[in-house]
Amino acid sequence: MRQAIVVKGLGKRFNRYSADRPYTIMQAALAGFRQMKPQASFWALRDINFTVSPGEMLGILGKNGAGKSTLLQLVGGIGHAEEGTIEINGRIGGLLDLGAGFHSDLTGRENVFVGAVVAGLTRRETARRFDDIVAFAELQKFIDSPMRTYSTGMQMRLAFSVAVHTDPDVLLVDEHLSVGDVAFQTKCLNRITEFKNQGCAIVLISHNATQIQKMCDRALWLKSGEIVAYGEPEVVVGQYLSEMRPATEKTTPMRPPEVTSTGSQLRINDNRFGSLEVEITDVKVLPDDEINSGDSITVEIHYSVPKPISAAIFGVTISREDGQSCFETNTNQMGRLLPLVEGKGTIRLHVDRLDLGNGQYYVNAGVYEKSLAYAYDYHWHIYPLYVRSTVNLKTILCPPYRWEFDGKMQVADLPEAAEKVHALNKNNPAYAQISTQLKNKQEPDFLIIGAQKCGTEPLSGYLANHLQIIKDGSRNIHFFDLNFERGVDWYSKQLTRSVADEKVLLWEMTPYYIYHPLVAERVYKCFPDVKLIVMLRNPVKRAWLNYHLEVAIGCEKLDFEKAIASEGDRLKGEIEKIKADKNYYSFNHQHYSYLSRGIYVEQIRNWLDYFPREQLLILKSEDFEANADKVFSEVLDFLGISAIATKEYEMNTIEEYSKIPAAIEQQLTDYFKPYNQELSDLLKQDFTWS
Amino acid sequence: MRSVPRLIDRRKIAHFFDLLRVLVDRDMKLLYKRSTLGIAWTLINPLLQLAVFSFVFRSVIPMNIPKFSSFAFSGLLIWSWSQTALFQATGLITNNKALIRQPNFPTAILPVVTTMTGLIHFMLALPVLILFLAIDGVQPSLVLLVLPLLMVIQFLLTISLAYPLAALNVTFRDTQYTLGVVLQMVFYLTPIFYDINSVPKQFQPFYQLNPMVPLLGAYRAILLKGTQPDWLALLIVSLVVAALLPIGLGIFRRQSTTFVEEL
Repeated sequence: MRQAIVVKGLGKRFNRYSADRPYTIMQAALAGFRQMKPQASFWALRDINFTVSPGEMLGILGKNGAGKSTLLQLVGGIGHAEEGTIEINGRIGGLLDLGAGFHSDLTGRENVFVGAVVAGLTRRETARRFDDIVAFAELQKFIDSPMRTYSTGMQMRLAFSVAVHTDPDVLLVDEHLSVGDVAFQTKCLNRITEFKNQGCAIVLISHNATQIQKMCDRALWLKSGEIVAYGEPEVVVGQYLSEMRPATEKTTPMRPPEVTSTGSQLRINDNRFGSLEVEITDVKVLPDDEINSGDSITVEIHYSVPKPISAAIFGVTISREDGQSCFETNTNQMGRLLPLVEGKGTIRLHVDRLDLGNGQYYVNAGVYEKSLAYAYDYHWHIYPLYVRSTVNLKTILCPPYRWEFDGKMQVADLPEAAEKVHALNKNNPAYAQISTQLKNKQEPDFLIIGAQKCGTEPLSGYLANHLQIIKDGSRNIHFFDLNFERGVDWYSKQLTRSVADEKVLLWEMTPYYIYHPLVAERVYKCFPDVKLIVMLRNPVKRAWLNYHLEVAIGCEKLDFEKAIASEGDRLKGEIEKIKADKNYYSFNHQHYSYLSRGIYVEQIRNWLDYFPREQLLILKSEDFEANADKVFSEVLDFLGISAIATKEYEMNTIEEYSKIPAAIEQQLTDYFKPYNQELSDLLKQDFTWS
Repeated sequence: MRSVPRLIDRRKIAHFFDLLRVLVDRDMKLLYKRSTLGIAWTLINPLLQLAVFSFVFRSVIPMNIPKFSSFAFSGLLIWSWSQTALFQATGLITNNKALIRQPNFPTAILPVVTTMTGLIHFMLALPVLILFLAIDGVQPSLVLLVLPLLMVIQFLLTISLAYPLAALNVTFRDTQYTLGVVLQMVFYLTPIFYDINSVPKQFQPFYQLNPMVPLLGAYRAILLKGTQPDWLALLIVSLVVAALLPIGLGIFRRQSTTFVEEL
């Protein structure tokens, strides 16, 4: 693409004259024209190089007298440069001196014509755009009044409007943007942005660093006629602002680029700044420059001190690629200034956990003068740090977190019963009877009601392998606990339909049933004859497994000891709430009930309030795991069926988590002991797990 | 591809003339608006001068110039065009900072604008001159067709002097006042209200150094006498103008690069 502006090696020299240089012909004649020669000359601009492509906006920053206006004028073809070349492709428009050619005695209309033609339009082009110009300036009513009746703001609006309607390919803007009221300013800025989008190359000069950062694609910082920095606005503006701190008149010495241990080049005034009274020789990000969010890191700064420094401040920031600072700290915050002796040294910053979002970052390190007035050395965007996070969202921060939902549970949108219908063997003599039953039967024959982490999963797997499954049901229907308002018609459709002998069996498994305080009553009211299968494991082991499940699904962030210690608080009042409000959903009750779920005796007692003992089959998980076939035959007896395995069930090896710490194990064993005893007494069977 | 630069050039030329027109128009309008008498004001000055000259040189020191009113008025009109244009041109750069700082503004157009405005005033006053001629019993003749040529020569002469003066005023801000004094002197040393023939022979060569002298002679020949102008003298003036214009423009151009820094 052809550049809109190409400036190469531009230099502008100004002459400096003696103070008593004659200002009149008379004086000059008397002085004999001797003092007309300039005493000295200085370079107002030197070695300026930049390009602006169409649609790009360059911001020029600098203090008064830095050469900004001169540069803009030279680009605008005003004045003559002693060195270098300026190449402009396209028509230039300028917002330098607003209202060139305007005269207060002329009407607005007359001034528009003068201004527009002066700005480069022909009269015919002006006439064509006249209405737009006036409308943009919002001066339709006053356009035929003399300009002297206008307020300054109105004059500026008209001038700006003329200037922006000249369709320039290159637009030069002085900081006159601060004209008019806020609304008009916004309009002007929008118009400039519009120009940019239409492919107009724009050069803006301003004191206002923020404006440049916000609007420009590139920035150029001029100081005493030379380019200090040229590049990304964030970078240049950042440097400019830090330089603007009053005492920072220290010049950064020029020296050839150096290379860091990571292979990046250190370039003075590009990614390295400072007086180099103290030098940062290397920065290491440990243990690695790729970490997981939440990991700890150590930033190790190696420095060397040529001459002793009474006090210095070290600082580290972590910033994103776009320059956004995410973390900033310095040694001043610990209230101590660091005296630096001659020689080499190392300073480390330990960050215990860096909870940053996924992405590329940079570790920036600096060492500063004791009042932070200027930098001895500052390395910017040299040392990369990549943070990995499972949360792949646009976020700066990624602290440990979890969601907790206290409102009513929305009815979970469970999948409708899977469409996996197995063909029934038509040769079966009882085919007619079975198919009728399959069509009409709505009530469940048995439920596996828990408890959680007690082997209900392998049991239902066993069942699935021994019965002839006609239709797979939904898993974890949670009908009686969480989806009760969906109604039994819906429920019937979710059940697993299977055939054993000549019997049709409908069933499901939801381990939360046993523990939920309302389920026993609900089941009884709907299906008083249903058979219930319960599996119980040593509650200590159960709690340990339960804890690891919650950690695995991301619900638990505490360690086990804290989790069981805080269970009382977490469950406080939850059961009462569940009982009081039929629609109340308790996250804590479902997820933070490691010990509570292990007090089987209370749960069983609740069920026995509704169902006779014979309707419950209570099994030990340990027995099932030790001798599955034997226990399974008990189940078949209980259900009154006989069955042969259609295929072998592969028992999942119980997830072997790290072993429960002995102290806690003992503590929990003691805790459960009386409950277990009570359960054994109640059921007249040994459930002491001792 | 050849036609593209040509088109741009054509647009540039069109723009130059539009710019000239707009700026002249602006000057004219400002003149109208500033005084209730408007354009008549430009006539009042030479008319008053004419009244004084008529009184002095007819009644006090009789000069015996035939058709004195036409003679003096033509001289005054011609002189005042150049005088006003030069005087105004001198302040052009210093008074138009905003225009000078306009990107791509052709600064060299400004003296042209001022001279052009003067020319328009000159033409607007021509009917009054024709009235005087009629009163003095001058018959219009075909040589009047030479008039535009004379105006072109005077126009170019004026701007070639205006360029260095405008540039000089940037360095020496008293140029305009000094010029006022100088022009006043030249006014009297130019045969405006007296005849060149009444100047003693030994001073005549000095008079010929003033390019306004042959121009005035030519104007008067065609306006008052109805005779052919002195073509040789006109040719010499034209050659002088042809030499002065590039020099003046060159000085202006050279200086114009520093206008912005000097202002």
